[in-house]
Amino acid sequence: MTRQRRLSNVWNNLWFQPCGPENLGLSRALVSGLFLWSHLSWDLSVWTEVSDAFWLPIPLFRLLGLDIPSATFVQVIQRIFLISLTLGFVGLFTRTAFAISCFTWLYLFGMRQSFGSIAPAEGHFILMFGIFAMSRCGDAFSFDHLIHRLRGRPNHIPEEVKRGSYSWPVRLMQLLFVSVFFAGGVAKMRLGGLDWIFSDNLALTVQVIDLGPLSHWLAGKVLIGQLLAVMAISLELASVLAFFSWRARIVIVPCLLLLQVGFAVTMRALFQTFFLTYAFWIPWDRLLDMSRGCRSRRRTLGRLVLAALLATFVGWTAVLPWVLR
Amino acid sequence: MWQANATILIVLTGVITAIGIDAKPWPFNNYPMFAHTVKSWSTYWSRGDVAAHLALFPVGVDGDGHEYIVESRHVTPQYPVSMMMAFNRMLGNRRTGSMFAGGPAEAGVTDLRARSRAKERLIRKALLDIQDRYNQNLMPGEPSLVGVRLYLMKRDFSNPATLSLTDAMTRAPSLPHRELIFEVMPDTGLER
Repeated sequence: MTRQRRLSNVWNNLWFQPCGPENLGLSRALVSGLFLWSHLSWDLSVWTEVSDAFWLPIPLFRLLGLDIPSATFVQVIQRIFLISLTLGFVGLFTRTAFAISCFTWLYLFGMRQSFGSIAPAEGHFILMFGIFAMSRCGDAFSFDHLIHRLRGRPNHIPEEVKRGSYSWPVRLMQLLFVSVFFAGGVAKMRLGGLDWIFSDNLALTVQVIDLGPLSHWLAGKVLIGQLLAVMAISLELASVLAFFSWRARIVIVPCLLLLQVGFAVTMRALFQTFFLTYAFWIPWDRLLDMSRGCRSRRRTLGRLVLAALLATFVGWTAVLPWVLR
Repeated sequence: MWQANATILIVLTGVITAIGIDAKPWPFNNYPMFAHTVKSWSTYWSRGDVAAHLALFPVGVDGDGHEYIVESRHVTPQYPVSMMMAFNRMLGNRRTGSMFAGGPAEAGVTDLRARSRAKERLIRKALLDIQDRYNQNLMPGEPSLVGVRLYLMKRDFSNPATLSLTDAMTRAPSLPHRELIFEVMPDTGLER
């Protein structure tokens, strides 16, 4: 086997594993549906009422010469975004809908950032909508698929399964997910170095960012702070392994989830939009197979797990923020 | 499949660039997640060689001279951290304020005090905007503001009592570890 062929095999194994459209289709519907739900009541035009003294455009806006927009313009863009995202969620004109979502969200998110708003995880949704627009994410759980079948058109799915058309978007979202944590670990090693771990740094940090009772409890407990720092940095650096190894994934992804639960408890920061990206780690297709199986015990278990997972996503992103408000 | 490969390569390049050279090719912004050590955000407080972290924050003033913390609900859609960062940018000072700013421990205070007419105009406008929005979003029983002050808070790492930003904002008048940077009182014409 030539070197080029070997590299090509590695690349294909990494991104283009044969798999059905259900994993991507269900992740698309779940993530875009809950993202839509959590942004439905937002009125981003209120940013236009903030003084221009706070306006410092991001490089892209500077490059394009974009200034503070009018409230009407923002409302129009926001409506277009919500309509396109709704279409993406139900899977009607799916790819076009996500292309529009990508550009409109890029504008809305960029405008907020130009006023100094910090919402780093939401930047990844620009990329996610772009990835959906470039992929065949509307081939399952969608009106597009239903219309395709009703019109009796030939079924192209088996061919796309072989080509790995449904796996690369999910893998790319997994890469973006681990990159968030891995970048945090690398930044800590680069900027803080070993001092970030082996000093009173973490004990002081929780006091400076003011985590209430936790700050008071951790004040002066340098050793516990160091232990937590080792755990955090190890997990962040190891997160990249979850992308390459399914064994590592089983341990690391739940640990990252626990870390996020920790943030929610101590900082009351749910990072609910980022939480949605855990959907790309769940083997929905296997769970769906289980829940449709012939053995009743397995079927019940599959249905229970599916229901529990869906309830967790809905609870974290739609119910908890409302309860904590 | 070229579309899939091109998308993968674009995203991969963005991710690797963002992590590898610590650049921030938007929207691949990496959130540093408190990567700077606390003491590397700090600078030396001019009144003694005490390692301190500096934070800028606005405080509202009512007709009786009482001070009030400016919360997110008063200035929505902004919030305290985004305002701190904005004032840092206005003062052209990268070494104070937010936990995201970072930077070496040197001469931050000097930058801060190097005020120009342009900076002053910008800060005045921003503080008046805060006052307007605060007064528009008053809860029942809350007094309206007649002015806003911008303070620099110094968190002394050798003194845990100075570390809490909430304390500094709520117990503001009695705290010695803060310095008035700017003040606007439109009704009285006071501005300094």
